[in-house]
Amino acid sequence: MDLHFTAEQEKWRKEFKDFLDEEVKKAPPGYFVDDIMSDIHEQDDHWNWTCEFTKRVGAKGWISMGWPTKFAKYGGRDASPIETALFSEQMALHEATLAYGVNTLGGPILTHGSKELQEEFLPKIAAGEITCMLGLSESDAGSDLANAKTRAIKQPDGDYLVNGHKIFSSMGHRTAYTLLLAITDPNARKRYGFSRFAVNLKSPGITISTWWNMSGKGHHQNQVFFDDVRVPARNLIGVENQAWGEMNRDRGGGSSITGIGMKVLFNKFVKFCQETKRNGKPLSEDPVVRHKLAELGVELDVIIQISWASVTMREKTRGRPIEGVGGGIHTSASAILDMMRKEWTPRFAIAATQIVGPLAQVRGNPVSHLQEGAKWAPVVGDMPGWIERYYRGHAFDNHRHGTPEVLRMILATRGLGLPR
Amino acid sequence: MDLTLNEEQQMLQKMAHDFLEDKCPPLVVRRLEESELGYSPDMWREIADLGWVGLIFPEQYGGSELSLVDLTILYEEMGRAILPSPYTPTVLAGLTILACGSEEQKKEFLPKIINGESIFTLALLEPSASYDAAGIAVTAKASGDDYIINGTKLLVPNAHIADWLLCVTRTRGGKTPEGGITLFLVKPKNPGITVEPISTTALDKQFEVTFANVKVPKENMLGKLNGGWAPLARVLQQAAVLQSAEIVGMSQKVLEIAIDWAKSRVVYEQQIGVYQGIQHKLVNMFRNIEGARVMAWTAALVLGEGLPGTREVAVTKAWASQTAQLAGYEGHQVFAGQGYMQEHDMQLYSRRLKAAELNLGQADYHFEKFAQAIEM
Repeated sequence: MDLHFTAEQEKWRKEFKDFLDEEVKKAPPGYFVDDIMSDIHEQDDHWNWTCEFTKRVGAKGWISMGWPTKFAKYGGRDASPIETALFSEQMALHEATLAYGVNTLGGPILTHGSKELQEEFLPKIAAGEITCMLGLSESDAGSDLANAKTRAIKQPDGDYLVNGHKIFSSMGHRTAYTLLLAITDPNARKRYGFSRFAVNLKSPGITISTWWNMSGKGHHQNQVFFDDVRVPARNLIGVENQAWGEMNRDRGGGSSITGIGMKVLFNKFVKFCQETKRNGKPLSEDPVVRHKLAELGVELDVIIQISWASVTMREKTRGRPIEGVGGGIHTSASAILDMMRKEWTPRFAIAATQIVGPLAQVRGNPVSHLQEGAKWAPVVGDMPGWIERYYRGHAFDNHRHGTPEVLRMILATRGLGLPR
Repeated sequence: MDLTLNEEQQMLQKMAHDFLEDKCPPLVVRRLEESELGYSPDMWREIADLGWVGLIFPEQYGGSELSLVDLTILYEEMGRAILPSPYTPTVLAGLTILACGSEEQKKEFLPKIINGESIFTLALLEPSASYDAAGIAVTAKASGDDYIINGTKLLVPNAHIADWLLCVTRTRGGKTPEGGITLFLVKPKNPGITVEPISTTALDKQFEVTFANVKVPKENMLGKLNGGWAPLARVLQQAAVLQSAEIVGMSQKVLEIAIDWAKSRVVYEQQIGVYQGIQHKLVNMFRNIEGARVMAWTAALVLGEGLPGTREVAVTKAWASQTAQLAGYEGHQVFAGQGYMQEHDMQLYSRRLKAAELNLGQADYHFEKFAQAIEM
């Protein structure tokens, strides 16, 4: 056991840090205030900068570094879990974001895609030129994805005709592609008739309509309708009807450290509490405030440390056959971390509103859409109204890709072996 | 960065696990709980012979010179078996002697601690119930070649069997509470010492130790006059980490027996493990245990490197104390009424989990330590 990084790992870390230190200076004004509000996809100049930044990250080889060496010509060098984790750590510390879904198609295509599809997509993904929304959820199919109804029926010429309706399609109005899950064999038993496709969102028959959520003009979600959309046969990923099994074996995603971005926010809020006086005394000297914050801070340290433990376990078991979602042994760790993140976030949001009091309800999104009366919104870091926005955001952040309750169910049955 | 067990550590874990599974099943724990001594001298000797007591002491005194992390592995197993033994206070006293004793004292005491011959205990806590230096009011006053100790110590473990008490005293007021603390080694049989049992939740052997004009020769001073707090505080940090590792073991065992129960107990024609009300409790325990284990390793590594570790220790014990609460409470919820009965193992664990949760600082205490550590 060892808490230190090797000289080589420190070198990687420094390289990521130095690069990002310079990059964040180039961002358009207000970008990082906006970023925290998840609004970078709203303003053209912010979205464009994100895309350009992503390409520069791609040029460094960091998008594809975790891919197997088999894909060396696209930058695949089987980078160690620690290296990819260090990259994610530095990204989070710099509050930087890659363009939406830059690597969403990477794992599926490099693991299951045809050679043709790999040659078409992998160079572009590695270069940071692809953006992609998830085309999974439907009205009756969220965590229970096997209920998805969208169909892709093979035509006599080999192409597929897609009809259906996907929801919660984050950033679909910006991204170029979708990773679509659809039924290709309507007569098959549940789960055995699905296939995945890389679908160009400009294809005729696709309608993308904004689906507003309570974040206002924050995180942008959509509904996507497919009406007789023709998808070329070559865009099928993997073996027809085998998507369900294949999905659980996607590789190439790299490791990440949960909690770093949360810690950046937490530290900003602690500073706010030190600088904000109530009844003549800094909030941070109030024992109730201290207790609330310390409890959250303690849990955050635990989350980050579980994360590192999980990455180092992954490092140690490299090259061994692993099964399950996202890399085997990490099924438990990643579900625990996801659950902890999703529960920490709303607890922090609620604690922050409790600590700040009545003015925590004042909206103050400063850049994209200035609200009336925003001058009364408490400023955390350099973000007026952050608390209010964060509170509204938590209702979204803790549900995407499965609620904590769903994760508990998965952990109970798959992790602890309880009956279903 | 590596937070996984190496081969030697896995072997240590298995060795401790197998030994305790064999020698310390719940039946033995029950018998010892009711015995006067509260531990088994035979088992204690075996444990010492296995090298457990000397695990982290230097080779020159007969120890194995392993790390604090290695010791957390042993503690997890001792927790899992809820081993009744004088291990903790003896080793903590030994670590204090190692930290600030004279070479003479080290040579005199450490080999006997390591081979299991001498049992030590810490006379630390007082009616102030504080683990901070400010809580120490028992006085030691110089009188010729002796010191005279007066006052009351509480929750002193194993005072009935200890060969030595490591007594934490106040030798002066001064500017800071930390600057007036001096440590003494005292024989419990000294005239003026009264030892009275205190009955606790865990029914472990805890005592009130009263000092009435107890004369201690000054060569029994451990470390410098008024310089006792710094070395002791360091040992208390280690103790908090070890206590956390013990909680991990206890909670892990509760989780395992609760999972077994959830699979076998049928209510309303279903195994109760099917119900999410039960599933979620067990997953919460699992989550807390995983975090507590990783944090105990982390804090042990930090302390092992000689770093301050204030933040890591606070996080570790705060989280572990919450884990102890959760495993104790939710464990009982899974077993319902049965776990409350004396013949059930759940109550053996939950009573000890409560002690472990509170000892060396409950969660709230460590939340404030954390707040101070991040300079809030």
